[in-house]
Amino acid sequence: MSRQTKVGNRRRVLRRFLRNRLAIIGMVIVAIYIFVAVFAPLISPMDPLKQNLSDKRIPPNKTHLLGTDQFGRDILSRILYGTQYALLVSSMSILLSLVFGTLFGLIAGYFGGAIDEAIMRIMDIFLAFPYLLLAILIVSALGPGIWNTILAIGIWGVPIFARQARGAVIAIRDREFIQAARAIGNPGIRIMAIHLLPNIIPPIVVYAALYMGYAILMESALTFLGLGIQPPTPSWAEMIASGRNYVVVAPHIATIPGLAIMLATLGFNLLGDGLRDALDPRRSM
Amino acid sequence: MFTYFLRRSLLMIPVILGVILVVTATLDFIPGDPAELLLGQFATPESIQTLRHELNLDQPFFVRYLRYVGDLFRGSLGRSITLKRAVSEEIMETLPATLELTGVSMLLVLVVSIPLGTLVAAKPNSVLDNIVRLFSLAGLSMPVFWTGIVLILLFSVNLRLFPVGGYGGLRHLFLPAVTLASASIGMVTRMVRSSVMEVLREEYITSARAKGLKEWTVLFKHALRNGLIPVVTVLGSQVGQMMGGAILTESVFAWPGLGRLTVHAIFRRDFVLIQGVVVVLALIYVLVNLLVDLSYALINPRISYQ
Amino acid sequence: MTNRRLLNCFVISLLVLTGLTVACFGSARDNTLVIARPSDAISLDSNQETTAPGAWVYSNIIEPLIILNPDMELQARLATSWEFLSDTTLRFYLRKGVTFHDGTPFTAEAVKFTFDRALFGEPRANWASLGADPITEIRVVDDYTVDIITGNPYGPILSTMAMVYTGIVSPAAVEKYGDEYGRHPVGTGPFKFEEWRTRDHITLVANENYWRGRPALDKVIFRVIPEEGSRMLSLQTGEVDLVLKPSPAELPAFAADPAFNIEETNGLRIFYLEFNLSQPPVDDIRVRHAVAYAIDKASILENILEGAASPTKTSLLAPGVFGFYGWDTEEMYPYDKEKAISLLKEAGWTDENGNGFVEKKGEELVLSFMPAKGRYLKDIEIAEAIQAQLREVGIRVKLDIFEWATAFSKSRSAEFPYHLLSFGWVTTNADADYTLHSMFISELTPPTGWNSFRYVNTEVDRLVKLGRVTVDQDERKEIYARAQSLIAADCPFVPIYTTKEIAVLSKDVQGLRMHPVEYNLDLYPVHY
Repeated sequence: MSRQTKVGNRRRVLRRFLRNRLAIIGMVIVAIYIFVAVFAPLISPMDPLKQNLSDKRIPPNKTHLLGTDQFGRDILSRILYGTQYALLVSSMSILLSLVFGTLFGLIAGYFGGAIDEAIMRIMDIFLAFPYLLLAILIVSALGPGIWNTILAIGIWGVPIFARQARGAVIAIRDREFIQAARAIGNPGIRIMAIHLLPNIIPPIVVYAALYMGYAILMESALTFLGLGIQPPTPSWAEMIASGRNYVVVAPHIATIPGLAIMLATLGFNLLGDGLRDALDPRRSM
Repeated sequence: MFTYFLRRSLLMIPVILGVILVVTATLDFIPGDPAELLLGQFATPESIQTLRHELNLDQPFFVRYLRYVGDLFRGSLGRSITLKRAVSEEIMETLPATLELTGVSMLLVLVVSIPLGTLVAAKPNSVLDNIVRLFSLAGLSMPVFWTGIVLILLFSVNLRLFPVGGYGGLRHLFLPAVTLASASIGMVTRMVRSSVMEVLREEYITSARAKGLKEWTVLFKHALRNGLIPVVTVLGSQVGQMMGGAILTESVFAWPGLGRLTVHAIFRRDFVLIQGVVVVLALIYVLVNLLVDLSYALINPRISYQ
Repeated sequence: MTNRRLLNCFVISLLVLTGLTVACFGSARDNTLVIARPSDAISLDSNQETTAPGAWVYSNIIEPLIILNPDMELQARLATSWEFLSDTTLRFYLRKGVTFHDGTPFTAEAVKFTFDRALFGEPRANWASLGADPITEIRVVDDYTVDIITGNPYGPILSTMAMVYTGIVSPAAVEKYGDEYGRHPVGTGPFKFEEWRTRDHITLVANENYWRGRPALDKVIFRVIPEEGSRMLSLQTGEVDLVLKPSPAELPAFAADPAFNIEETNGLRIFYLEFNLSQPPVDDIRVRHAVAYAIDKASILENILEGAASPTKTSLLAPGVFGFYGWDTEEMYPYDKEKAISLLKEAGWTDENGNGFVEKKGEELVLSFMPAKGRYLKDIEIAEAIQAQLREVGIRVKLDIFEWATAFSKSRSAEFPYHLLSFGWVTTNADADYTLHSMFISELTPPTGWNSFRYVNTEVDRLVKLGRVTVDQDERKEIYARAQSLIAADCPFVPIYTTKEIAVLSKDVQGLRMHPVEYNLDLYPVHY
């Protein structure tokens, strides 16, 4: 592919993306969340860990814009800080899935044959687990903790990314420039790294954005079940879980953090959808 | 046709064996001595030894694995340490509740998604289409346990229309089923829409229209039937989602199904029970996927001979 | 069109089904009592389960020879009278004409069978180490006379025999069900076991042939509703008639509501923060005192427990227990942040690097805390509050939360690497020996005993062992008073609250009296 066509392609993709209103909204939402995660200590009105027991369960008012929880902690501050944990865990899990999934998919797709079969059968085994079950199993075996959670969620994504990568590799492995590279005698690794990888990146990136949404939901699910981070780190799902006890007297404690989760997931879903449509407009949704 | 079925079924077996392998291996990673942990206050050196022997913990990994598979073929899933009864018995008692829940949820998903998705496929980019798209996206972004809590707040606490949880008839089943369905409706509606739209572009639709058939007939009789293929696939994948969702929904609504049993097993570190439940769930999931593949072949006979 | 007719049929059948179900699940009041509680039983065999979820149920199925009534007086049950033949032999004369639910007759053989199974069986009952160790033999004298023999004189023998765990089981049922007996309990009590849907509900039905006369209720259903908010809501909607472990936040509203009554009594359970003295730096008494001063117990009682529990005295025994000696915890350890900080400084802990937490020689003071969760009222909330309060004086607390059964098992193992633990302890037989002997004897550390503090004090050992074999009750009181003073000064724990046993019921439910010992839920006198 000539350099000019590549650049031209990129511009076209960008233009398609920018014309999609929902995609822009998604991007803006994601950007806001990233901003909040980075600047939480600066923009947060109060200390998210400071308890003030006599100020418990105050509904939203002027001092506490989103009210206080059962310990008198400011909910707005906890939601802002909660962004850090949510984005950290989901992005690290997706990174794990992406790196290992792409690696396996690349190898399977390039070499084909028995290696392909072997790798894909192993992926099938992991895909045979209903989505949450594998994560629960791993966290319950290894114990709660941020790295175990990242591993649990990340492992689930590996076969999915492997499939994507493999598919993308198969689509282009018989193209001329790859044949040419082989004919010259380039070793497989070089071909994979320099020729295949850059070309399969676009669809992978799209899936990364899309699966951020899933990662956020999965992390929430694990935390809600009690398999996530330990207190006192602010976590949206933990706020919902503990707020359940007060759903009659103080419904705001359990309901507001859910909006934070939903908006984050929605943002990444819109972004991912937009990227996917921009890259392949025939699949318009 | 039959050979296709046979081949697919046989391929299932190594996958199940692989699942059991993964589960057995994962439980190996638990730090500390599982027998001592399980016995807790009753732990004396003798009782620890006895339990280790019972659980085959004194054997190397592969022996344990093979023993477990062997037991499985004889229909035994072992004996739950915390519940003091056969795992298969406990699962048989608990599974129907989950089947009820997921069955009704699936039904709700189908009843809502298929007509809705087909309708908006016929009128893309209309007001209805955009509303449906928005709701679908919102729906699949909502954490299912939160949806349940919000529904409880609205319908149980404020309107007093439904009970807060527990097992029972339709009244007790309604909110959990709606909650579980909500997680899938968005996804499935989108799939139906896109696949029906794809079909509508096909030539034989244009020729059907040219023949003068009513739009209604064109839509439902021709487009839908062919558009159903990828939908069946999506439904298959949604079963996996639903199982995960069931774990969360059953927790929120205190529905005594397999999901809650899983949570119980995990928190109580009852390895025998965990193994049994995970294996059964994976088995069901694989079976469902098999059925999806088969109905796929049935809908479009051209595929079965590949 | 056939499709339309099919659709109509479907809709109509759906409506009919809904109608029928609503009819069935509408107010099933008649003469059934529906009770909501937070968790399910593990087993209905008292040998295997000593905690409330099971005990609430089986205390209505099996009966001990004698019991402690809500006023803490001894009352006859399956025994009609008793006498001490010697310092080590206690004779019970049993009630005649009583049958088990399975029709087999109640005799001295059944008593021997029950106790042998619990004390000398394999495995021993959980409760065997809780005050029943001194019992060496159960001797059948004749069909309706049985002797309980102890190795040495044992002061608390009568109150031990009154524990709900000692309820007599049907030997025939145990033979029949073997390992599964825990799911098919059979006793002589006012209610019979009917069914158990795990994690959902347990159903009991009236025992028509009960020796005191048939109970007023026909049926009792124990339901599992984990969330306190949901429990209260199901009471509001009439789905349940009685809530055990109500939500403190909602108590005022229910108290003001004429449709509901609140039954309460002072409980005997103390919820406390426990130190593991084998883990430095909590082996340093100044650190322990600092923690005690740093906890704002009054605020916890007011804002987390919201009146559903009472303040504590310095002992792990509640004031209602025989041999209790203690004074107000607030007096001994008032909330004083400055004092806590200065005590830490005295012990060498200061905030050198300004990060808000104290260090000594570069190492931060981090206490690992394994709290109870979902077992005692507000246990996890209190743990989080304590974590925040200790943070204010510079102590970092690392929480490691496990589900109750796991936490309990871990705490009962020989190796226990945590500094802090939270626990609730009730003196089930209301005798000081029960608690002081199990928990403070130096050599009785887990897994054999309950001294998870790893507390070592030879004088306390001597006093408690003496108190056990002393028969004069006034002497015993003095001995125990001295022991409790010593223990309080050593501060191996910080008491947080004393329970109130509270139930919220719909106003139609009459006759329930709450018992200070949580496990005794007597449903016999309850009626509409």
